[in-house]
Amino acid sequence: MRFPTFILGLAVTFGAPWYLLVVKPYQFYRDLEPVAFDEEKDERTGMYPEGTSGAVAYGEMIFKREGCVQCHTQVIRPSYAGMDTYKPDFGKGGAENKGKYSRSSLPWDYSASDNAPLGFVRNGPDLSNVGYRRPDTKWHHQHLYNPRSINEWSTMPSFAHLYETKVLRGKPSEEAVAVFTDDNGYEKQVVPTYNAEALVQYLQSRKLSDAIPASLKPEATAAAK
Amino acid sequence: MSDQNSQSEDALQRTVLDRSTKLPVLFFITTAVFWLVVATILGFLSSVKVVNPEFMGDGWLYWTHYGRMQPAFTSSLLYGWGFNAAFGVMIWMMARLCRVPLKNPWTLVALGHVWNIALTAGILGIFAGHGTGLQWLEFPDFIWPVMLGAFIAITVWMVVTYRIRQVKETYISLWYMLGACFWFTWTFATANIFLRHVEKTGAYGAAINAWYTGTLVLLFFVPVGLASLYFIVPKITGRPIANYQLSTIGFWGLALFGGWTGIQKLMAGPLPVWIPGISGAATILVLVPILAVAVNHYRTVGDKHSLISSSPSLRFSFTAGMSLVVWGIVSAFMATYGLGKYTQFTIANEGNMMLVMYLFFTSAMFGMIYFMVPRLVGTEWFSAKLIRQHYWFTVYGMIGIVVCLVGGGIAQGASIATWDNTAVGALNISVGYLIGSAACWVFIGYSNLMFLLHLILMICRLGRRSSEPTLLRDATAHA
Repeated sequence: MRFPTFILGLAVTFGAPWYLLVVKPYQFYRDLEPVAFDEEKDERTGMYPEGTSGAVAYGEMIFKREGCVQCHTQVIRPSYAGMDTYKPDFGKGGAENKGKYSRSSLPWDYSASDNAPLGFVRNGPDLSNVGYRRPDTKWHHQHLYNPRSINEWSTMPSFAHLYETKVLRGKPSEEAVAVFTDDNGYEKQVVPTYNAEALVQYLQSRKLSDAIPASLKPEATAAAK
Repeated sequence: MSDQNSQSEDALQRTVLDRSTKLPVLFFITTAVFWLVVATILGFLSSVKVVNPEFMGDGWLYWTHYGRMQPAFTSSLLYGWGFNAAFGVMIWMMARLCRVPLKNPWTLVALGHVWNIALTAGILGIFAGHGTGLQWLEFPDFIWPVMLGAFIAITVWMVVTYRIRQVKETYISLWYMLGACFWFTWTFATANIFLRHVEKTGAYGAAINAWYTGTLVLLFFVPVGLASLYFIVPKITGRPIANYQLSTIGFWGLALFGGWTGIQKLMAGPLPVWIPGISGAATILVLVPILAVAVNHYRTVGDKHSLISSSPSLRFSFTAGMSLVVWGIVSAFMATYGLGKYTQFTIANEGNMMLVMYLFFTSAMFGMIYFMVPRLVGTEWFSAKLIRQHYWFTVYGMIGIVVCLVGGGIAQGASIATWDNTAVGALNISVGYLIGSAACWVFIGYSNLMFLLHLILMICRLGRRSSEPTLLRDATAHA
């Protein structure tokens, strides 16, 4: 086989999947437009998805940089691939939501992100809906600072390096995760840095199974066919 | 008489070729084995930290937490050990099979430095908290053009050597090596550009990332490993490859299906269903070229099976060949919805990656190193006992890791698939398996440290001075 023929063979066999699995689907995802809610059918107005704030985008960067994605996914799989949609600690949480269905993920859920961290291993719980399950900012800070102070069994590393110690004057900050007196008798408090605050805002924004316009629901897609 | 003459001429030419490649090949091999030891240490630490985050987790060592340790481990294993070993083996085989002595060895050494300095900066960047959270592409953004530049320069050298080759035949190993260079350049550039420098990838970024992990394995590490198997098997057995047709099927089958794989890892994710579907189908079809290669090698060895127990190179290569078949079968099962939904998003994927990266690729490279180094330095391996230990500790240690991770992954997945089970349940089930894999890393660490010492002895020319190769047992006893 001549060398140019060989290279042509490689280019054709690899070019096909490259175009069909990378370039073409990417264009589809890039061009995803937000979908409007229908006032009659959905009983609300607005767009889905709504835009995102700068702090949340910055928080996503912290999420990626710290490697959270090594253990946490953000995908709710439909029922043909497991019980994700019914799991209480994947959905909205709480006793009142136990056994209730939370819908599976759609491409629109991630369109606010340049490159969504869907994750590859579930050593920890799925974070798609952690914003519903844990609305409390203080809980997040306490958990990030020392995970085992909340769950004894947790294997999550401590992210104490996202917090800083400051001299305490007056009352401690509402978000302080620890207050102590150092060797010189100064009262000190441990408070979140901006990185920690952004990370918590990002986590609280994870409400991927929220309401979608009727036109995106499976029933509507099936009817259109 | 003329036959004898041509034989000694051949031997002389081989000596000239080996002398010309000595410097860069030894540089790449030594660097690779050094990175392997680093990867082993990081792999051990990371497997401990995933169960016990407080181990080395207090105070100033915060930057070693699992979220940074695990990417540092995979990066050093893939780009440190994997690529340096591949460079060394490819440069040596290219010169040998094209019969072209290497010119300007220092250029290749300089390129190797560029690659390794960029890699070191990348891993330090991950530890410093500048990782990207992309699987196998965790380096900070400025690293990849440097690495790609060094890789392309080495590729240019390969292609030039191929074009001025002094033999008429094109060996199948040459195809695999040229293919690997071609595919890696394309897939690495695509993945980095799309994932780092293109906006609004949304959920599809994860799919492109998964595609990159699939193609990196099937279109870089597998071809390089197969190139070395296609070299070692005929060399040691002294027979030509059994079937030319099967070799062609093996190569073009891989080229045809390899590029479609990877995205099955995101089955049932927020993607059009046909994309993971086609990826899964391609992963199953890859079994065809893998089995074609396996049958071909099996028939080439023929009745000379006793050589597997006596020759270190053939023994490692045989292990590699077997592991590739096992990996193909495990991957095919994991690519179906039936089993895949239990192994998806679990440590089974890590186990499967260790199966192909370590039991297949690393064994193939070990086989090649045991063959090359005596020819480059002019002394034989110091001790058969050390080689035996290296072999058994590697094989048992890695089988232990793979079984723990794949088995643990299935248990973890089954627990996640129970609707009323919470994170505690899945965690408690996988912890035992993770501790098992951490224990097996100790075996791997011991074997790799011994191997590094053995290699350094060889490079310091402290090997055996003998005309007989170091065999694991007397070859004639069981022939």
